Amino acid sequence: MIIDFGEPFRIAADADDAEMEIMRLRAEQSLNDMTDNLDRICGYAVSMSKAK
Amino acid sequence: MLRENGMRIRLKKLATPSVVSWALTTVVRLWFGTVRVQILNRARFERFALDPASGNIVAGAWHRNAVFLFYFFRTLGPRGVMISRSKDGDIVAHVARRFGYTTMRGSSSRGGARALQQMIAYMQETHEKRLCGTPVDGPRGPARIVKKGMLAVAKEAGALFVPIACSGTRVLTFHKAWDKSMIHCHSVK
Repeated sequence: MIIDFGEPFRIAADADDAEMEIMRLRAEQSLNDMTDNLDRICGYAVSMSKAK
Repeated sequence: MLRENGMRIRLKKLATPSVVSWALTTVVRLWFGTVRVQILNRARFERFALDPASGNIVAGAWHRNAVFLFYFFRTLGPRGVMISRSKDGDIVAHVARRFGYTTMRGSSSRGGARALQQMIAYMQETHEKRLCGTPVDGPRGPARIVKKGMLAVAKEAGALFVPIACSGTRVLTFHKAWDKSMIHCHSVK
């Protein structure tokens, strides 16, 4: 099996709701990109647990 | 019939969370002990997960890989994990403690705010490096949509958020499960 570690990031202590949403989308994008890449490496044509 | 019922009652009494968790822990150790792991970005893993100087870590991963990652992180330093207050969660919490995790009980549907506060306090109570996490799309999905809880912990605790993903060629996939859970199998190479 393969594990990937994405680029870590820190969230400012005074981040407001809008900034938190940007961070949430960043985390989601990072996890989805890494998962798609690993699934491709492992031979899956379409990532198996993609959100519908 | 009576004898059969009596046997069922005795088995039910034996199947306490402690006994079930002991059995599960043993199975998990034996099963995943034969899985070979390749780490992409190993330098990043060593720098952020292993190096005490990098400070506290909040690990974010999808629920589909939760079982293996739970096993994978068992040898790192002090770790905390958030587990739902459901009956299944009781057993998972027992297994987590057997693997050396500190557990915070709650989820987005019940007790989540308190569990998040406990996790923040756990990371702030010492200068020792600590790692915390829970599946960021759990406990019931939707799959691959990040919930804010772990990000809020990272913010409040001043910890780094580290996205972690995994996949494998030899896996059992639960296609009917909301998260398409993966159980990684024995690797020959």
